[in-house]
Amino acid sequence: MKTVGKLSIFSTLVFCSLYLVEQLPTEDQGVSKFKNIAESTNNHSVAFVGSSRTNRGINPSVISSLIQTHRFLNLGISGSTFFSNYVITNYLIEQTSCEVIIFELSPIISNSPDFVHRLTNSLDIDLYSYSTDINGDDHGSNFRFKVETLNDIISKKIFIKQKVKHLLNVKSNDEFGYRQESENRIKTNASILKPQDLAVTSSAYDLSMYLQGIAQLIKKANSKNRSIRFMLPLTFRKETEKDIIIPLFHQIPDSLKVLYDERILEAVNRPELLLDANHFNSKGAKILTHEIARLIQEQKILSSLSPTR
Amino acid sequence: MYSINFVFIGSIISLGIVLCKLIPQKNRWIGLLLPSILLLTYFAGEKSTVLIVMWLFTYLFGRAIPSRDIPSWTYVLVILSPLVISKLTEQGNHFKKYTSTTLIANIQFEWSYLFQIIGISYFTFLALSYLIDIKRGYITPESNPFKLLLYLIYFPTIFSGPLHRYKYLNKQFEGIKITDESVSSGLRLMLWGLFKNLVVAPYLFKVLNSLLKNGVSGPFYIICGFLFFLYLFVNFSSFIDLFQGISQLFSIKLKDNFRSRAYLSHSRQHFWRGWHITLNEWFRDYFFFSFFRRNRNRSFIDLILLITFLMIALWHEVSLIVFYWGILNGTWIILEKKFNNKKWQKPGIIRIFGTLYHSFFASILAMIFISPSVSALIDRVTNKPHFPFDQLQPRSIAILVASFLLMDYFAKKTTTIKINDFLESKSLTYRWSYYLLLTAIILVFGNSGQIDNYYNQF
Repeated sequence: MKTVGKLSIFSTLVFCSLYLVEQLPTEDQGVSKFKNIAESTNNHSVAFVGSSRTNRGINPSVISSLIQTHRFLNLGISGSTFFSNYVITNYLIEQTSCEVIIFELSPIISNSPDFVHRLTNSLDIDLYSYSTDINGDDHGSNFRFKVETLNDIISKKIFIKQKVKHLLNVKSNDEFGYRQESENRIKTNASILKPQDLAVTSSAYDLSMYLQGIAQLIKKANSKNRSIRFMLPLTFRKETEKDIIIPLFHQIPDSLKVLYDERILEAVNRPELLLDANHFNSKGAKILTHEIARLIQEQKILSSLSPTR
Repeated sequence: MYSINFVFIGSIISLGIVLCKLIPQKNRWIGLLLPSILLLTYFAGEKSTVLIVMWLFTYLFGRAIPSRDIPSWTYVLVILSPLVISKLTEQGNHFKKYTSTTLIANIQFEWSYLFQIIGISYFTFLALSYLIDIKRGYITPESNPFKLLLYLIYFPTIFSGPLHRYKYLNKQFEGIKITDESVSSGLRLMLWGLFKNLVVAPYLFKVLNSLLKNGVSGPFYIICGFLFFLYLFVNFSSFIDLFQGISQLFSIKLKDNFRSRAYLSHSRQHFWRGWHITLNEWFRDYFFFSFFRRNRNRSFIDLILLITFLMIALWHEVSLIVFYWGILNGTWIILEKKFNNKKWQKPGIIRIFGTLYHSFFASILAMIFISPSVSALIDRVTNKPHFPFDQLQPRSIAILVASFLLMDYFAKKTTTIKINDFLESKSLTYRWSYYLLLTAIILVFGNSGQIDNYYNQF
């Protein structure tokens, strides 16, 4: 019983400290900026949702100058996963006027970056409730996914690293939106998607959770009269990522995809366009953005603003 | 990467505590068996059936050994086969796999994947230890199969040990109790483990990963070896501390697996006496001595020692580079045994040289261990020397150095006793300062709700 008393004092001290830290006024400029951008969307807005690959690969001002009928937004978030992209896309469909969402497929399904936790907190979005949307064929995986999500939410509340950084005014990199860097730190093109990679059709992984998430997004987009297109990343840090993403991409109907042709794969297949194995530098982003703009026009992605089929 | 999240392990511990409080002393072990089964099912899913079958075989062999003349090779073969198959069918380099971010997607069923089960190594080692001990007459077979199951899958040890003999753990399963002392002692160890696992180890790995990602090469690659050597110690020993603490809550004392400050070993022999102690004891008792006894004129001791190290290496991964790593480890020990280096044990300048000598060669071995292949290692080492200073974040380095020094400060204080016993002897103010300081450091600098251990993949 002595221990229960000691533990109670200890827990009270810790929770009071956490509460006080939480109450300290800090301005989350990143979250405010994201909300402002998202809220200013209209029926000519096209949002790219994805991870740091999108974040560093799509230059919105370049694409907006190439396709002037629409306003393009890069909402790529550093460290974003399939699940956090799913949550952001849901938010865009349900609470903004964004007309087209281009969704970068991410191989990592669970957990969310800190930015998404702060954003969903600020928007009063219950992150955990979204995890119940994604149910694959395997009950064990579904259960693990929910436990992981719950753990992610709780630990992001307990660990105050980001809050302390804000309090101390430690500058962190922009967590969302286009980020450019001209450096080239890698001399090989091994991580860039190649035409032969697209031939992989079967996966060693159970893709049912991803497919369930995609089906949910399509359903929601249809119900709100929005358009959603799925896009492959053009760089892969690990071979296992290709084993998941490329077969998954093949299972999505062509009408819902941004389809890459040989020209884009050839245009970006140069090591000097890379920042590191997983990201393009500003030179690479410029070329990639030009090519994506061309594909959007050729595949008439913006003219088919009818409900997603 | 097999990370263990707070929510799940917290639920498992809570369930264990509630059950142990509710169940009478005589059957209290059931209060630990149920959480152990849940934990195994969570991580292994339907593949836990393989372990169930192995448990039944272990039980039946155990019962049969005293009354029937069963040749040892029969049960060794049966129990060892799943582990051998899992090692032979495992694909990819352990370091590469470890650095891949968690993909929650399950791999679809394949026969070769059937035996890739978390905990299979430790389950196998314990089952063999139990059967061989019966054969050697050290213990009598357990009549209750579920008590045997608890020994094989006891949740604080299933991931990566420490390994215990049946006699050692079973005796403690009879005396499970949750007291003020056991909880205080357990929580102190858990806090210590969490500090190392969530703060010191991740910063070591962050710096290591940053160097590797940014193309460190030439002689600078040895710095990665050194960082990995430190990382492995901090990461693995923290995991053991944490689970020793969890076990301590139930008054079950697990064996030590690491010597405090093993990274300051002054020779390879000194190092192995303080590194993954229970695994090395297992290989010594059940592998090395089995051959040693047969070698009456002692002419093959070095060869047996070399093979033992090779077996330990191949248990990590069946690959050419790990094979070389094992050979080098064995050769190093054999060479050291040939030269008398007892002087290094005495404190002073010679011992400092010993520590430098050991750290240097241990870093080379670690460098080999983390390389995906021999050619990749040669490429890294022979490339133009490059050290990406500009990619290292001064903030990360500062946090790493400060947290490592703090860890080392307490490690130095606890060279002969565990941190929980050390704190017990301190004043209330000292103890509470320790609790609050470590908790604050974890909350401010730790950023993960996952407890991770490199050795979970083996």
